[in-house]
Amino acid sequence: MKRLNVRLQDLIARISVPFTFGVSQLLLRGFLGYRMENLKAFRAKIRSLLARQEGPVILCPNHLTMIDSLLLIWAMTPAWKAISKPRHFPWNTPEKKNFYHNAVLRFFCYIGKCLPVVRQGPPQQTKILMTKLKALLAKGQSLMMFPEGTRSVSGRVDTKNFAYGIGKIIDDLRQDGLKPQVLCLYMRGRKQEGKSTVPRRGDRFFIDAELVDPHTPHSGLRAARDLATQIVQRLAGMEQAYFSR
Amino acid sequence: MTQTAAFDKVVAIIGPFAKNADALKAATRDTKILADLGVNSARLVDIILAFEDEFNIAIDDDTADKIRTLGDAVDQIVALVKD
Repeated sequence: MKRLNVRLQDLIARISVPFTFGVSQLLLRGFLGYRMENLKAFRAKIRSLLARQEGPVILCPNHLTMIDSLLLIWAMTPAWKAISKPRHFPWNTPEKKNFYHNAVLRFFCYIGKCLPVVRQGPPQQTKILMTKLKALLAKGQSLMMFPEGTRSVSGRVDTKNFAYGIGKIIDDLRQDGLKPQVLCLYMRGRKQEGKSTVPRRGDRFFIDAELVDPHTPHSGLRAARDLATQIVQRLAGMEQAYFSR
Repeated sequence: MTQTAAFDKVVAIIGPFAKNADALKAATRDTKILADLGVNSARLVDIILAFEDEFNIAIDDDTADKIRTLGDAVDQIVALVKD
């Protein structure tokens, strides 16, 4: 029943893409005046990276604002591709407390392929969510998950206090015989200093992507930690490259 | 291993991760690791792995999920050390 609910949500989300992407563009480009640098080149890079092999794709961005997912989906894919290629329109796991407190947000989260996560929630609830996510990934869909677990307090990728959930998903998928691809995404508004609710109006965004293939000799929780660490360290490396340009 | 010895070691391991120092000083078996000690949930994995290293045991995911209080941790550790 739960899987059927997710499939129904996927279908409704795909049908709603023209509306969702239209509203998103109106808000991001029209009202807030955001611009992506090298949008065409970035989309071509994403197409090329995602075309390299089939299988689950996990997108792992850095996290500075509450609308990072929205910005990243805009940057990654045009609306027509989001309808025809579900891998280009990833599922998201926003914090329930932040995004599900009013009906409008709940509606947009639903048609935006979001599955809410409850931070420090009951383990059983987390397990159900993980099962749903793994089932979606196993069907070749993509998932966007911020490996830091929360917006970076310092404004830089936090290589010390981050969550290991992403590592657990990768390890579990591999245990099931799948080969997940991990796409690290580094995005930053040129005016962005630390974390914020939304980027400054009129900001221009730098964005880059790298495929990573984290591996570990460990299993269980140790594997989850090891894999998550490699992803966060890669993001930190991408950030270092950004600031040294 | 006695419950008391395990409890002392558990508190020492959790210490660096606890944001609430007062609660740590007054810790009992019923003290909740996340809610009372202010440990970040993501750090719970580090704590579990530190238990494994310190007591030379393996804690599986299901057992880890059952650990909510210091008493839960002590009970699981003592049981695993006996095995």
